[in-house]
This record gives sequence, C-alpha cells and structure tokens, in this order.
Amino acid sequence: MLRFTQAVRCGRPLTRNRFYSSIPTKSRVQLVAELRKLSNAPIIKARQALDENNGDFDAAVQWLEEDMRKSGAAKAEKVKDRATSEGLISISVLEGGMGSRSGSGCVKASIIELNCESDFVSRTEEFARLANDVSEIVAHSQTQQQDTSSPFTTLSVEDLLHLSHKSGTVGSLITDLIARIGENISLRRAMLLTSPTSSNTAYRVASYLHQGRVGALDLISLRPSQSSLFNDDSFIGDLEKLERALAKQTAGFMTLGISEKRNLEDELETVLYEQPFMMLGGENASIPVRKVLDQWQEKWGLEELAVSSFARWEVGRD
Amino acid sequence: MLRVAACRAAPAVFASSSSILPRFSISRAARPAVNFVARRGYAEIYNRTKPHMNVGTIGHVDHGKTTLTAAITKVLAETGGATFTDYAQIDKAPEEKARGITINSSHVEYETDSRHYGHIDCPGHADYIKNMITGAAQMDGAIIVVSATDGQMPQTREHLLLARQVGIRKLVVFINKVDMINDPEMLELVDMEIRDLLSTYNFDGENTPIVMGSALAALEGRDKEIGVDKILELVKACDAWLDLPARDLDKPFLMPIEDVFSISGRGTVATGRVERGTALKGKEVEILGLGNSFKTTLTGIEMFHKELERAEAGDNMGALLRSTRRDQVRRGQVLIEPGSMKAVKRFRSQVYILTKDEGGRYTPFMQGYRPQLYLRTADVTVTLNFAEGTPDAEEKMAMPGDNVELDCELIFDLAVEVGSRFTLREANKTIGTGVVTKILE
Repeated sequence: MLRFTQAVRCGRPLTRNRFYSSIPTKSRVQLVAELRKLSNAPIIKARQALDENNGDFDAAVQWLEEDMRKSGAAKAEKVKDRATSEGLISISVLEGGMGSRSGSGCVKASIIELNCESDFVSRTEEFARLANDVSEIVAHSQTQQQDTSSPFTTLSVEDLLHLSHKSGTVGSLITDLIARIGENISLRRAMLLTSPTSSNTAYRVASYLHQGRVGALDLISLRPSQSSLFNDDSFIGDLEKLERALAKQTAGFMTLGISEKRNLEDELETVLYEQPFMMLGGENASIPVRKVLDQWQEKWGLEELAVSSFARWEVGRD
Repeated sequence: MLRVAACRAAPAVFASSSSILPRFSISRAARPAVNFVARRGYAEIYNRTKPHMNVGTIGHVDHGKTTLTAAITKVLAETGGATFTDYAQIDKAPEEKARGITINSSHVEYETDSRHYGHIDCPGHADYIKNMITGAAQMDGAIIVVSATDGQMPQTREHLLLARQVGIRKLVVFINKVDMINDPEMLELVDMEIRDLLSTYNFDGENTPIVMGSALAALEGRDKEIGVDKILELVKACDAWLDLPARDLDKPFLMPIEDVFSISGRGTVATGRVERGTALKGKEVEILGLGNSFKTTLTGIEMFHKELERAEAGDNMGALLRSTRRDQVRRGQVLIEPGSMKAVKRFRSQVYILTKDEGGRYTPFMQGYRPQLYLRTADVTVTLNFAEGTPDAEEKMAMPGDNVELDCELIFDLAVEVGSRFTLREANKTIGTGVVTKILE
C-alpha cells in the first residue's frame, strides 16, 4: 500500500527543473528520482512506470501502486522459500484492564512475530512500522476465543493474512514491503490475550519489549478487598510500576514457568516466582518475586495478586 | 579466521626496517604468514610483503555480494593474486568462534600489485559488530554493493550506518547488474542517489569511487568491458581510495607489564610482550596506570638472557628501569613511549554480552552493574552504565546476546585509547567483550 497522494502535489513542480535543458529525456530522470523518493520503488520499476504512461507523473504513481501489488506478489512468491530467522516481536495493548486508562476494564492485547532475512532489514523503520501495524490489526481482530482454558489464543497465520485492513489485507501489507525491500518477510506467529470473565477477579496486562528481540506479555490477576481501590491514583501508580517490573522480569530472565518448572530438568531461574526480583530494583532486587508480591499484596490489602498467565517470545526461537 | 589473524600480524613483524631498506616486493601469491624468513635487526635479506588490510562487502542479499567476491578472486587469480573461490564456498559463511563468541562470516584473501586484502562477508549487522568488538576481522574499509536495477533500498541506510559504527571512514561502491538496466541516465540516477546518501551519513559522497559493472559477467567471463575490466577498476579503486591501517610497528612503543622482578645489583625489571612499536635502550619511557604514573629511563633490554639494544612488537622482553623501586611497578600497568597515551578512568564502549551458550550470563544486568574489566594484563573493577543520553537508562537492561553501548568507569585508571579491547568477567565467567569507542575524560 503506497501512501503518496499528498506528496504527489509537491513533487509535481520539481519536474520542471531548471538544471537541465528542456530535453524531455533529461527530466525523465528527475521524474524517476521523484517517483523513487515517494515510493521506494526499484529504479527499473519507476522507469517503467513513467515509460508506460508517457511521462505523466500522476499516472505513473497510479501505475506503480497497481504494479507494486502485482509484482509484490510475484516477488513474494519468488522469495517465499528463503529462510527468515531475523525480525521483530511486536506487542499491542488495546485494553489494559481494570483501572487502566484505556478501555473498559477488560484486557485485550496481541503479540506477534514478524520475520525477515537479515537484521539490516529488521532495523529499518519500514519494517518496524509494519510489525507495529500488524500487531495492532491483530489486537483489533474479532477472533472468537476457542480455548477457554487459557486467556491466550493462538491465531492462525493463514487467517490473519486475509484479515482486511483499510485498503488491503495483512497479507498485502507484507507483500508491499517485500516488493520494496526485496527480502522474504513472513508473519511467523500471533497470539491474542483476552481476560477471562470473572465476577470477583480483576485482570490487567503488562508488557515489555526488549529491542524488538524479546517480548513479554503478562496477565496480572488481582482480587481487591474493595473495588474502589482502582480509583485510588497512588494504588494504580504503584501497581503500574510493579507490573512493568514483572513484564521486564519475564522478558529479561529465561522465564518458562510462573510458580513451577515447566520441565523437571529446567533450572530454578526459569520460574518467575523464584527469580530474584531484579527488575524492581532497590532492596527488592535479591528477594524472590513471589515474596515481593506477597508483601505488596499485604501492603494494599489485596486478597490475591498473581501473574496468571504470560507469553515470552524471542525472535527466531520457540 | 586464523588465516586472517595471521595475515594481520605478519606485516607488523615484517615491516621492521622499512625505513632503512629499500622496498623489495616478493613474488606474488606468497602468503605472508608462510614466508616467515625475515630476521630482524641484523638482517641481510629483507622480504617485504605487501601491506595488509581487511575489507568487507556490505549489501542487500540479492544485490550480488557473494558473486562480486567470487568474481574478484576469479579475476585476480588470473594474475596469480588469489585462489578462485566459487560462489558456493563463499556463501556458506561458516560459524566460528572468536573470544568465545559465535560469529558467522566467510573470508577470502587476494592480492593486488600493491596490497594484500583479507575480504570478509557476513550475513548480518550483528556479525559485523561482533567482528569489530572481538577484533577477529576488523574491517578497515568496505565495498558497498548496490544493484542497478533496484538502486539503493531502505536497508542501504542501515548498511552505511553499520560501516560508520564499525569505524570505517572510507568505502568504495560497486553498482552491480548494469547489464540489466542498459540505460545511462538511470545509472546516473543510481550514482547520484548513492552519493547523496553517502554524504547524509558523513562519508565523502563527492569523491567516493563508484564503479559500475556486472559481477556475473566477470564471473562468467563475458562482456569484458562491464565484467573483468570493472572488477579490475574496483580493485584499483580500493588500492587508491581506502586507507591502510597504521601498522603496529609504526605506532609508539607499548608493553603491557606482566611481571616485575627485583634483580640484586641491577634493579627493577618489568617483563612483558611488546604490543607495538620499538623500545630502544637508553630512551626515556613512561609507566602508566593503576594510579601511579611516572617517567624513567630504560637502562637495559633483555631477551632470552641476552642484552639487546632494541625490542619491537611481538618480542618478549625484560625492561630494566632506572632508579625504580619494585613496589612502584605492578602488573596491569604499561610501559610506553612518554606522552603517547593517557591513563583514564572513564570511557565509552561497544560491548557484546555473551549468551549462556557462549559461556556468559543467563540473566540480564542493569545500570550500575560492577564486573571485573580485563584489559591487556590489567584487571580492574568497573561500573557499567548505559551510554550517556540513552533514553530511560534507569529502566533499561542489557540481556545476553545484546550489543550495547556502555559507559565504563574504572576504579583505577588504565592506559586506554580508542580501539582498546577488553573483556568483562564475573565469577570466572566471561560475560562480555568490548571495544573502546571514546575516551570520556
């Protein structure tokens, strides 16, 4: 999807440039240059766009937009078997849960992994924007929760690619970037986090992204003795700090389980509650996470405070 | 990797009396490391190998980096300056270990009339950075490869940023696949665009050589004027435009102190391996670092129980120091040409944090972390902070596998300069390795 309707206007006067004589072929180079500035299209395509439209700039822009879609698909087909092991994790929190500034009190968030071939590409703004767009679209998607046992729903990548968005689909967003960047790009996995419905438990979400390489999404559950607590700014402030530290802790350590080892042979440090709560810092840095949570729970008079579920993703790993 | 390392060290050893004796170029194809016959000091025969430098190819996956590398070896093989290495061999980019760190990079080497090149090709940004940090294959210059059909792409910016980050000041551009565009105007545009971009990233956009050709044509031996000829032009451009790195022997004298002895009747002797430059008996030297820096005179040089007049890079020597008490000199200090270095406590660095698989930490660390820093023979506690100006430094963490920019503050001053390499250790574990990028005081 090429957004350059705006820019076309300002690009236009430049075509009558003063550096070259009025030989039309000279200004053609300028036009190609302009086209490229707008669209990032390959030189060969930008030239073709102009030639096919007899040098009409606006028509060339149209043509290019059309063609990028077609040739993007062809290009995507050509590179689709190439290994993609680099990329970014992206998280989008649509609704932060009870007491959060965004949303209705429920939790809705997404985590996705978008892959490409080299870390040169994953470092570009274009790629980061795409990853961000995709995670947002996924967070907005109206996917029915199939598995009620877990608040995380793994979404089918195939279905997501057909998810429509403004002028196209997730799939077309990806092929557009493939056309411009020339590397295979693939959506590897995506999950949606929604809070379970419960009458006496409040849910909130915490997230942390480390350089786009590691991402953690934690579902926090709370049972306050009185619900007015969520109107207390000092409580919310303190809670947000704790949540952020929890998400960071989940991401920073090789966290695999919450209160017990996922596999028997795993090390104790893979268990979130057993880890020293380094990310909260200060005097708590060496105290196990669960113990800090217990103290915190007591401080604010909560019946329960827990990490009820989490996702920790690393680019290129399972 | 080893080969490259050997090549790198070799010129330093050979270059010894370059200023005294006339240049004598040995027959081509002789690999410097193999040709180790020079005798220093009193040598009658002097073999001077060509100066060495490392270049790397950086470019988009489809723009023909590997084809270009293969083409260079093929074209230079015809004049005996290289062994032809085909596409498949280069493309493998084997995994290797340098200072315990896993790096993917492939190496070839070739010679022109005036230089010997080590040529590096890595698949990604992180691999080039690791090469820089470990010094395994530090790039002294780069060839940016851009396809004429695509022109520069969004990631070309990242390629130039990388070149900047690893300290490259000059590069050469190869516009590949010109046979597929066949339109001089468009080629002009590619040229113009890339010069613009070079200037944006503080390279000399105006004067950087841009060579347009087809690596594939050269490799397939067709269309000589855009094939072989252009490869030769590219190589010539490298010879003419890229600056040779300073050789260790030409640099001011430096010897890290490994041990200190008191020899009755003679005085205090500091031993170590000369890292660079030449030490001459009777000259003034400076002892630097660990809070105790002072000047004295080098009254004697000893090697293998013999008295010598001079010692140079690569030699293990004992330095007899005039009127110096044994307790004034310690392991970790350096012996240098007076004034050539400063002892500092604070500097900025680029650091790679080893993963658990590489023997590093499995947990992250935060601002204010204090491991031991090992630099040459020194071992000093250091406080690590995220580089000044890092947003949310208080909040940030460094995880195993990260490349991070850190400000280091030592508890004792050490002889440090830009390019000095060090490792960070904690509880017998190497947790990181880094290179100094800026002195902060």
